[in-house]
Amino acid sequence: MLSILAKLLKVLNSEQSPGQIAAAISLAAIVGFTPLFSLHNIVIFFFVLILRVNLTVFLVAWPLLTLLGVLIAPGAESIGLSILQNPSLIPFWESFYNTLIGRWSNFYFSGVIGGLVIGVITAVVLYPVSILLVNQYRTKLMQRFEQFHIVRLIKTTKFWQLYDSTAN
Amino acid sequence: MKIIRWWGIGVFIALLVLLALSWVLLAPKIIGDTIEQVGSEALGAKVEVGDVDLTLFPVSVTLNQVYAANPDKPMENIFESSQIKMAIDSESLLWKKIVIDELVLDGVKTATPRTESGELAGGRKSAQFVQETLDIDIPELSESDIKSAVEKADLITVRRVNTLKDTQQQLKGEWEQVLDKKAFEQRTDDIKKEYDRLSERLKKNKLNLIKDAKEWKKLKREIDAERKNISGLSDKLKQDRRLLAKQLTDVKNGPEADLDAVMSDFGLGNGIDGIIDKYLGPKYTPWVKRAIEMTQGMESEPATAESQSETDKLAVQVGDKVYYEDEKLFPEILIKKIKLGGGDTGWTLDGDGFNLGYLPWLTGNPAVMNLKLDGDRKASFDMSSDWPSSNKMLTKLSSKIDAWPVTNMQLMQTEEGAWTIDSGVFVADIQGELTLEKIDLRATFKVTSPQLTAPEGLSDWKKTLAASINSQKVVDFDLKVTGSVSEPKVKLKSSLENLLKDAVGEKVKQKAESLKADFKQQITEKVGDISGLEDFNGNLDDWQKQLGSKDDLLKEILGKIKI
Repeated sequence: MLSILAKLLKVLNSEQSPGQIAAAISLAAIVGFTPLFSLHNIVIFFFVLILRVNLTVFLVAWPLLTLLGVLIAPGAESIGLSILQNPSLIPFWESFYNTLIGRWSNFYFSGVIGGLVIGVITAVVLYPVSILLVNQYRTKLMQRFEQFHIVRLIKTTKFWQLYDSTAN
Repeated sequence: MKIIRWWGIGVFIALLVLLALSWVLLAPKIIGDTIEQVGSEALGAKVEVGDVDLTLFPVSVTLNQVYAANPDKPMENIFESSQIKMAIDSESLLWKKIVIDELVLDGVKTATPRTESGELAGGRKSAQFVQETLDIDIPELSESDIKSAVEKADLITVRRVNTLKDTQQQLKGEWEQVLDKKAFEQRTDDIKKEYDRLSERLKKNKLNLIKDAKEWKKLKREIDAERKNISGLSDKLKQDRRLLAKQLTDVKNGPEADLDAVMSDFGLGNGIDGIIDKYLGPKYTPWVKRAIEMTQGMESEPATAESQSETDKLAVQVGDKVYYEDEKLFPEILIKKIKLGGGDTGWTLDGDGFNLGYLPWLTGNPAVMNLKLDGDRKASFDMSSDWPSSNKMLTKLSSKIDAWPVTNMQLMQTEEGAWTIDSGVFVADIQGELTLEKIDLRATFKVTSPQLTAPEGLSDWKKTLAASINSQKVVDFDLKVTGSVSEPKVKLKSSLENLLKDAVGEKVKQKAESLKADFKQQITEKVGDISGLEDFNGNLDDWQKQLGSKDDLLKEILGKIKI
């Protein structure tokens, strides 16, 4: 646990691009808000691995956003139902259901499509917000943090040694 | 900065391969565990699968050494098969459908001994249910209980009286409007005046008949129209009279219906039948109840929150499935061919079936299932089901068990212990037809020469019941299912029920009779005097008289017109 936290701080404090961190959070939102064993999540994992998305941030954000996903699941299901039962969309869903990808996508389950829609919207919003927050942290908060008495105290602990060794 | 992480592709492929491999390796265990879990829950006793073989090319699943314990006799298997083999059509799996080309059940045996108990931890729910049903407690009711029960009750008589009064009020308004002087009498008066005028002219000069011919004809038409109107009103009056008579009859029958309804709340509605209905369920024996409980349990089990694992609760769920029109017109599950074979010392089982599927009308061919048991135990089961479309179906069922020796069959469980039929012969005959509109199913089940062992320390009526069962040559159940699939009517007559009635009947009968008078009095007080409701019929007679006299007058005038 301490090593994960140390790695996370390393990522935030390092020179790694804020876009990579933001992409990790955004993609974690999609995986977290939808049932894990869904076809689209294979695609997301493919992107996570092939693009230079920050893996540490993704692995930390994923369980946290899954917890949030469980909390919003009832809302996601009702949104999903309204999308699937919308009269104007029924012809589309009907033809999609009759394709192989459609059949294995599980998009005809309210929780999957509802979670995916919320996940994608959240991802789109989280991406610029995360970039902004990482930049703010690096330019303003990071140096102030260094001055805190508590931070100085932490620097004497085993955790800091671990962080320091990871950073180097 | 490079966007692509090339080694990521390798990791991704490796992960996919790892996932697929672990699925192939773990699938047999997952399939075996799932069958054991779901089967045990449905049966109420342990279902065990020795091992599962899975082959991918072609897709087939083989379950070896399948045992299902008898829920009533945990040291015995109700079913055993040395091998269950399924050859699955791989193309249908692509569309998430299971089409089994051939299902073979080999080495089927029943009632085989077990080395360890097949009882589920926690016991059976249905056994607890039977216990509850047999603990009959006849209620003790005081006068104030009866009064408060009647006060709280939504009496049908009160509702019927209100309906009748509303109808009377509405009819009164309608008829007063129809027979109003201006609208009704005025028209007759006008006709009379016109007739008098023309008659006067005719008297003065006979030639006026030719001159006034048009007016005479017009008058005749008016009279015809008016008489037609009166005839219509007479018909309506007859209808209204019938409606009121029916409502009045309902009101008069109301107190009796209320009496039954209120007393039914205490299980005393129809004397012993009422109490049997209330405490044992409508015409069901505990055995039928248990079957229903099991079916309901099987249906509701997958949906219960308890059946979800802790891990599932912490994961995002898939939600409800929305169904769209499926262009792949084959069933979700289809067994194209099934073969059963097995037996034991003294008996053999042979059976086959074709096109058993869900949704059945997509199988394309009628489903057939035939089973034959020979040897010491003789039985046959023949079923054919034709579903040419989702709204047309005909299923025929013919099944017979000629003689099936019964040993140590648990009849029911009460707090004193198990009631067991030590020996007897089971005979059954089930015949019937089922369509989507109509069910016609008749079944008889008999246990001849039952030798019952009842637990020690039974109370008075339970003791009588046990003695009665032992003195019977036959304990039988007659089941009749009619009605429709959506509203089936199940009637079950059982000599066991009659024995139970005899055992507790007299006690309940006396109780019901003594309370009936008290209930009746309270209901009469609440409903009030209803004798005045019939007085309204006088109005109907008046209206009929008015219509009659007008019609007579018009008829007389019409008779006098010579043109």
